[in-house]
Amino acid sequence: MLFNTLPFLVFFLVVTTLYFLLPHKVRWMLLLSASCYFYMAFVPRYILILGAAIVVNYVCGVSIERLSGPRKQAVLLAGIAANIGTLFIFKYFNFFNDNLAQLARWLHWNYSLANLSLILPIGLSFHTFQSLGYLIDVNRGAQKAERHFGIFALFVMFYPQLVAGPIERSKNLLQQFYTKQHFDYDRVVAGLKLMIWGLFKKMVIADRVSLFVSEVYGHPQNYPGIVLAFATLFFAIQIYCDFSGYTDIAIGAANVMGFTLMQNFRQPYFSRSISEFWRRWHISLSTWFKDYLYIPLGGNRVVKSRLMFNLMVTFVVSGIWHGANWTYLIWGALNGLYLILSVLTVQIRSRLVKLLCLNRVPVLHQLLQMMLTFVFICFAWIFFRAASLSQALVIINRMMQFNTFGNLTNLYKVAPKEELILNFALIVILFIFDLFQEQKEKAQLHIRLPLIVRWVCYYVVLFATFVLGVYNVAYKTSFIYFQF
Amino acid sequence: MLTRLHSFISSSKLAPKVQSKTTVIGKRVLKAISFIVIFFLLEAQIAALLDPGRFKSNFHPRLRWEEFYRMNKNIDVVFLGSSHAYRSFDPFYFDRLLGVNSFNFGHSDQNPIDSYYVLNEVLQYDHPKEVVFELFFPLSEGTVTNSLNASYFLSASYVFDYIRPSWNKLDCLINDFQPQDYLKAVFRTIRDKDNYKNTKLIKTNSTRRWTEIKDQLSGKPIPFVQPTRTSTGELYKGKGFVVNDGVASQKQLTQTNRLKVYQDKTPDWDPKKLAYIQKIITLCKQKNIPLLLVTSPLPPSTMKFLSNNYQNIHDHYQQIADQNGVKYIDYNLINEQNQLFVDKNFKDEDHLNSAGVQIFDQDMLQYMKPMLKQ
Repeated sequence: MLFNTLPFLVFFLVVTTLYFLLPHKVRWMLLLSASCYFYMAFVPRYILILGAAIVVNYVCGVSIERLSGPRKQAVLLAGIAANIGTLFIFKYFNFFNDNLAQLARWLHWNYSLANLSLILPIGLSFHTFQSLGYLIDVNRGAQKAERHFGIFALFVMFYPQLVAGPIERSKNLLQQFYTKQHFDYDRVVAGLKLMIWGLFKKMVIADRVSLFVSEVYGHPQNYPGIVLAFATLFFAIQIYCDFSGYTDIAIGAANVMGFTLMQNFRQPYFSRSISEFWRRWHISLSTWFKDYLYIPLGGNRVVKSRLMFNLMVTFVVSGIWHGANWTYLIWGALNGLYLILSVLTVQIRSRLVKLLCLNRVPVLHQLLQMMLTFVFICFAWIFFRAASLSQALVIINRMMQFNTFGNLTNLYKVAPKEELILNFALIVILFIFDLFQEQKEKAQLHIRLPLIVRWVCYYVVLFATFVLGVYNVAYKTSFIYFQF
Repeated sequence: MLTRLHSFISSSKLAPKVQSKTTVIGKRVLKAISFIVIFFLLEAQIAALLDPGRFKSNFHPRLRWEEFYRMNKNIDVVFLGSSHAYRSFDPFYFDRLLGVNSFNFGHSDQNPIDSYYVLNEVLQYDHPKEVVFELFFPLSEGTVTNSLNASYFLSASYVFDYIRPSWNKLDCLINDFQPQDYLKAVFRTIRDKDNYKNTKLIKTNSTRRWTEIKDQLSGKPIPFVQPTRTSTGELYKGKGFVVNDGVASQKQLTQTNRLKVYQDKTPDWDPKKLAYIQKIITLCKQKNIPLLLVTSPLPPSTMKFLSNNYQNIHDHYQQIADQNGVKYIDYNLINEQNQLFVDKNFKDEDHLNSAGVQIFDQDMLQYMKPMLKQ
């Protein structure tokens, strides 16, 4: 059941109405049943895997709290192994097996382990990481083990964030299930607005530009550098609108019922450095890696070489988290490399700024920083989007050949001029909205436009979604992050 | 002193306006309702701008329903079915010879599911004495489309768009459309969304709509637009009947004949559509209305392509009729024996023309008359 379909709209309306009609005591049962139904709408039998994971994590959590010493550590390790093991079998086994087989062929070894024919359960990476975070927090004493099995199950499978996050922290979400939520008009309206904006980003912007991206990335050898560059730019917009659109709907849906989920995106393309980008992009995952991997490895309070190692490990793991493919691994490593280079070039960059007198024109300096960061991020997206490493290299190679780079008219071979103008107009609207949001957050403003202006904006967004949204049969492409 | 200060503050602008909880709730409810009402008003206007031509004077799926709702007299005979129904049963002829008030509710590609909701709608307003249900086998197959590429979305919309709001309409939405099409069915803005690129159409529609709104506001009566004959010589004659004077070309009957696809295959019967034939039979029985199942004739040239499988097709419907004790008349079998129709009685490979309709309707009298007396 995708967020951008009528069945979800009906489901959401029914669940929310019942939620407010039922007494607080039984609301968790409603949410849990609704979450089960929501999850089973994808592949019903995978509820068994999710159920087993919930039982294991519940038992581990309670045991970790009760035990101490080596036994406590053993239970924690067993819990982590169970979670990572499930993830490995469903997501990474075939990848490792294929690569091992390739290595064996190269070394003339006899290796013939068959691949598993399993479909990746939807949202596995997300709820596994959420459960892992919970176990580690209980072990650290930062979170009490949840004794109520129903509430714990709900924490793992709360439907708005079940399949693609945000990856919630137990500290934030668990206690919210115990708080009695009243119908709050302003909160409901705010939640609905966020959901509509999320739908607009997904259906109008992401799905529109995806038509161009799919065509070009499907046959990169047919297109000159300029087309590939624009396809990469469009992909940067697509993945942002697709994922942040999903997140907005998830946060909005939870908000309507009174739950506050963590922020997952904060205008990431306004970042002035790669490290800032990672503080603004998929925040729930970045902070997860920071809290449960980067800091345990030593964080940045270590010698430079160790810091570089920590950064690289964190980003390679983050890359592989996204998918079992070398392209994701390289994408992660590339981001790690960017951060290492930014650590190594702090002094050079500051000297360069002074030399070019950029410090006297801060606006220009900031703008240049933003543009450079965006270019680096876009370059990394090539690996994320490409079907294989060789395809990514073909794309980069063609983009670097300046003699055959082509001109803007080449773009019209992929999409009509009007379609491209519309795409650019939509991107401009997106950036204006993000800029407005950025200024609002910076100045901590609570701007309330006149009612008529607000309503005009809502109607424009709603009808733009109706008219410009992509709704064809092939619309079962779902959200990009569902595959992770 | 304090009392005076208090009364000054409370009477001045300095006093915060305290609204009762009921007032706040009332205002919010009003705001929410206003938002929804404006939304639907805007949706209707935008849909009118994107309308590809449903407003036209010869768009008979709309004209038929408008005429039906304007009709004050009880409808005695109801014709249901696809274009084979609305091009074969001339209500004016039957009215004259049977002394009844009949109406043809057929529409393009109407399948049994559509027919059921059409009949349900008619029964809300009238008490028919007879229902004649035309069965054309391609419309009992497939779920989203059939071998003739008939769009079931479009045919369902010919019912859903024009029937008045009721439980029947809601039921029609749920059962006559595929779930993925619900939004498209309810919101015409989504249905016609791709017309946003057609500036010429939007310009024409906006001029037309603006004139309509001005006329409505000034209380000017909206003139009844008489249906016009199309370039293909077709006319909506009224009471749901569409007449065509054309004659099928040899090319239409042989080379481009769309029913050729059934030459070597049997229909892929859709259980849901067959179940709706049963539902129509049951509904008629419940309401005590005699029902006649009919298959209107196909040209002999077309029947040549179907000769291998046609007996099976006929038997499929005959079995349903026999199981329910309903009369089924198949003019394709009748024509094999008595050659009532020749190719020139058809406007194309499967529809009767005006000459063919005369023969057909005259012959139908013998079956319809006795049922009216029951």
